[in-house]
Amino acid sequence: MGYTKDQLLARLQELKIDFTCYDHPVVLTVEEQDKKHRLYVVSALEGTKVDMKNQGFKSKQSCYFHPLTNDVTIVLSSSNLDKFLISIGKQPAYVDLEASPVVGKDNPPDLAHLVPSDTPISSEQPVQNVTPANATHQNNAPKETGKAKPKVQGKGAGNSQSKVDKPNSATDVEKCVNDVFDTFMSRFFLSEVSKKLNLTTEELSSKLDLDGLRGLVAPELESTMMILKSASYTAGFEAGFETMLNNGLKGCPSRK
Amino acid sequence: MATATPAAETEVKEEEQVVNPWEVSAGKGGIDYDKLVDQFGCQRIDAALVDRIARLTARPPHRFLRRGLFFAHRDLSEVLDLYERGEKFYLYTGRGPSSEALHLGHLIPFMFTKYLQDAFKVPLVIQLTDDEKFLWKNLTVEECKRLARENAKDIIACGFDVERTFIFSDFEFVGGKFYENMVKISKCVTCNKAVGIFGFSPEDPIGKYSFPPVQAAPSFPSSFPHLFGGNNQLRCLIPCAIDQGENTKMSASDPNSAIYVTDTPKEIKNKVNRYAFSGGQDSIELHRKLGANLDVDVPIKYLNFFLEDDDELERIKTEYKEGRMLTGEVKQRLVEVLSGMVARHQRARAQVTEEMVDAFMAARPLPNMFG
Repeated sequence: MGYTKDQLLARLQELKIDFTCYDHPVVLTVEEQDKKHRLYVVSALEGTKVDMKNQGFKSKQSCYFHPLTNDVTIVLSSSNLDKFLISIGKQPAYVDLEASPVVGKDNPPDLAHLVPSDTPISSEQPVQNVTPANATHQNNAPKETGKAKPKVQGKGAGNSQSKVDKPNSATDVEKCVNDVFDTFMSRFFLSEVSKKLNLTTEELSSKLDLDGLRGLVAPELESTMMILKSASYTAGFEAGFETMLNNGLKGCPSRK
Repeated sequence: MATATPAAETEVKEEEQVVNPWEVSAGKGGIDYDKLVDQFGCQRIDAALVDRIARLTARPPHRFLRRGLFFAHRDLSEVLDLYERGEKFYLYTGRGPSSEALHLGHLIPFMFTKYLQDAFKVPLVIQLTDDEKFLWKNLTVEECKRLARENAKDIIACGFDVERTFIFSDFEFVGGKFYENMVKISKCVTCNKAVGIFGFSPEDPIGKYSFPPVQAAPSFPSSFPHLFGGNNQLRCLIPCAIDQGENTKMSASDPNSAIYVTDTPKEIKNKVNRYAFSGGQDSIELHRKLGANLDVDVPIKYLNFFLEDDDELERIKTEYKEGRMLTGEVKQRLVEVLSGMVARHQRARAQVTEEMVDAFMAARPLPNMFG
């Protein structure tokens, strides 16, 4: 479910977050802003890219954001920004964008641990107003605004889902085992066998100890499926490795 | 003033139980677990803790927990506290790859670790200490590395999740941040302390002295920058076994003392029937009258570990103890259970390729490790 600018602004008011609001003609790039605005417009594509806020933000009184539309800019302090982020269950992380850590075999990107490991549920595209004069620029300046902020893992209580997180279900072997068993048992085995034996499915399932059967079958199924998963992953891993080795980044399709 | 006679001295020594990295021997009456818990500064895993684990993981606790086979812990409550708050942790376990032959006893810590991985949905690092085996055994470096990879295949066959598991061998992986942590750890422990803990002697090669930090380093998340970045706050939970002894002593050097993952159903049946020490009576009449001694019965001990159904286990124990069930019947059930387990392991093991080992052992990111 997408949100509108008015809903967002109403929410900020609910949270008693002070901000100033400026209506203006659509602007698509920072360069088109008044040059005396020293700070950056934050833009984050929800879920796919992660943009870190500059450490310079941290103590600033005036941070500028588009509230789900690019014909309005709101100004608020970084502490109010934190307030809003925490209210939507995201833990803000301030990093130094000007630092250039060495990234290599033993040094993965130092902010890697801040990137959320699960794919967030995608929402509708936020509203973007384009005046006819700027239509040609649209393809080159994808400044969709969103409100995705990185979740800090490990420490911090930004994660509202605690004990049982939703895993990426396509690779969840346990879930797959249960699905297969339930489908096989209820849809096929029970219905077909009960027909052959002239019983109703209820009568047949009450005679069988389905839970006991599940207990016997599940470890076997799970072992087989886990090996299939490992074999598939291995094939993918090899393929990716060979692609990079032989063709570099050019070998990988572009998402644009 | 008479000094104690040698006989008396030896008697005293035999009564003490010994538990250290290279020797586990029981005093009279078997391993005293309460003493062990005290000696290692642990606490018992009680029913309340097992319940808590079940609640937090939304599933029944593993039979090793239900039956008190994993019985002691340090700081497990703290880990559960942080998990309940939404924080994460990772698992660390390992194996010294000294032989190709793995028996069921070797699999137990891995079976339990797999359960922990599935239940808590957390990542796992598995250390294969090929360097340790090189230092302590008469093996070449190449042989140790080869054994590490072979053992990795059996470990993979236990069913670990490739999206959450990093297996590494010391010879291949040590370096970088891992090595930095090793050196930092080695600066914290004096020679005296190491000798006190590990019993080194001045004649031992210095490699032995410097090995323990290798096994300590995986407890620190910063040792694995490709997994955890520079995060040094992530807690680590380490499941481990004390290398069970008692009178069921399984030893990789005595093929009849244990069930191997390579055994055929016929071999399993033969070993259980001929070599598993029975607590039953010598004749059927006597057995019906007196029942079995469960304390010394090996098949019952194995069933305790490997039979999943609690109700069935209780029924067998009761019937056997009361003499209504015979040794042969108990052994038959055990053969069924073990054959099933070993067959399943072998099926999975047959599918593990060198490429799969490469994938598990690659220092790759695990983006779904907490998912």
